Formats: sequence, C-alpha cells, structure tokens
Amino acid sequence: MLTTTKQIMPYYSKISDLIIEEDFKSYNKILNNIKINEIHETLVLSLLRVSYLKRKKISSWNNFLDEVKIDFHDRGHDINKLLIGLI
Amino acid sequence: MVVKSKDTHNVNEIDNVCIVINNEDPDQHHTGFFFKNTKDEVKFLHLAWFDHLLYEDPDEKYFWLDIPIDKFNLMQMQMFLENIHNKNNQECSYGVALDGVSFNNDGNLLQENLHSGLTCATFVMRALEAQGYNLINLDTWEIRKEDKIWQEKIIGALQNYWKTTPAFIEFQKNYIGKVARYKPIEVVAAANSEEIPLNQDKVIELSKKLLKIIQ
Repeated sequence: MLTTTKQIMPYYSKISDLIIEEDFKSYNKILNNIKINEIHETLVLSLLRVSYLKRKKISSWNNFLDEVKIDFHDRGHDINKLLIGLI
Repeated sequence: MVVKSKDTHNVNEIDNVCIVINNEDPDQHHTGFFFKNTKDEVKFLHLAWFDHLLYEDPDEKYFWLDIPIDKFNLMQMQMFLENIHNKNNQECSYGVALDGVSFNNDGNLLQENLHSGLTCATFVMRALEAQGYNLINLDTWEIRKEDKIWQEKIIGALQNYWKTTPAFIEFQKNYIGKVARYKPIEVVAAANSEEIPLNQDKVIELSKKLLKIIQ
C-alpha cells in the first residue's frame, strides 16, 4: 500500500491532471474500479477532494463517497472529521 | 494555544503542515504555511506580495502553530500546497478583497476578474477553504473603521509597484472601505482552533491571546 506523500504524489498529480483536462470519463472509471479498502486514506481523500467541484460531472462520485463512508467507518475513523467539507 | 519557535522546537519536526506568524512589525504581521514537501523538506509557502507567491526554506524568525486536522487530511494538504506552488509558480495577484478569487481543488488560482487578488492572510483562508476548512464565519464578519486605512495604504503601495496596471489599481480602489480586512494574526488564531468556523468575537479573542504570546 502507498503510505507516504512521496509515493502518493504521482497519483495525486495524475488525477489532478484528469480534472484539468476534464477527462471525467477516465475519472469515473477510476472511481468505479478502485478497491477502496486496499488504498491509503489520503489517496481516497485526494480522489474526493480533487474532484469535489466537478462532482456533478462524474456520475459515480456520490456512490464512491457512500462507499468511502462505509469503508472509513469500518477502519474505525471519525467520518465527520475525515470527510469535512465533503459531506 | 501552543505556539512553537526555533527556541522551543525543531522546525524539521513539524507535523506536516503548520500555520505561521511573525512579529517583526506589530502593525503588519505576515502569515503562510510551513509544510513538508514530498521530499520531506520543510518549505515556507506564502503570498509575500503581488506575484510573489514564495516557496522557500523556513524563516527562523517565524512562530508556528499546528492546524488541528487529522493526519490523512494533513497529508492531502501537503500535496495540495505543493500543487499550489507547482501550478501557479510565483503568480498570484495581491489585493484587498476576498471576493472572486479562490483555489481550485487541483491548486490552480481561480479569478472571476483578472484584477482580483489575495493578501497573505486571505491566501491562507482560501487554501484551507479549498480543502473544506472554513476558518471564519464570513457572513457575520463586520467591517472595521481601521480596515479602510489599511486598504488605502496597501493600494497606495501597489500603485507604486511596477507590475500593477492602472486598471488593476482602479479595480482595487472600488473595494476601499467596502470589504473587511482579515488580519494575519486573526487567520492564524482561527486556523489553530478546533471550533471552526469562528465568529468575529471569538477570532479577536484568540488573536489577542496569540499576540500576547508572540510579543
């Protein structure tokens, strides 16, 4: 699992670029196929925060958020704290 | 309120992202972020002036305070601040109004008008806001008499700066006395609070407490 910002940053940059390029189809594909329980919380949060302003153009965004809530709860996190500004 | 400095802590051991304040000029404090970049180096990101969005080594004259955010969002914030630097380089207009200027989720500066700009304090506010952290309750914040004096002083200085245009200055002048000033010390005090968004009275109370500590 990627656990440091050095490891996560290339993925963060890639998803940021997808949003800049307005490639919502690819972004949607990522959200649909990613296994949330296998990735670090920071990268999960990045996927949500980077795309937040464009969420209405990403059809699976709300469903992804719902799945994240369940996963974070299962990991024992305070959902309201971690997802501040997103819910 | 825990305020750290080079005399009490090692800056290389910051908790990923911190908010900073100096006290060189009691009438004009300055703020920004100390944060660890992806190489684990501590950097100082701050809006020093018009198109002076600086990314440099930490200044040892600064005090730093933690931002009470969980570790995962702090890591996310690290990457976001790095992106602000990568996407904008030093380019960021300086202006007295908070309106019409913000950061996109990918770190790009968004300006509704070409002549909108931020201050060091509103840069911090907008960067945190882009990540879901609203520090201050803006709807109930009241403009103070002294705000106008500061705005006239800043716009006067901007007028003498070679990079600004007459159109930019005219646009900024429209805001004199009509928008609030958020002082660096107030923004820093709010960013260190767990109770955000804060109302004006609470922000002022905390900022007075902070001022006493750094003086």
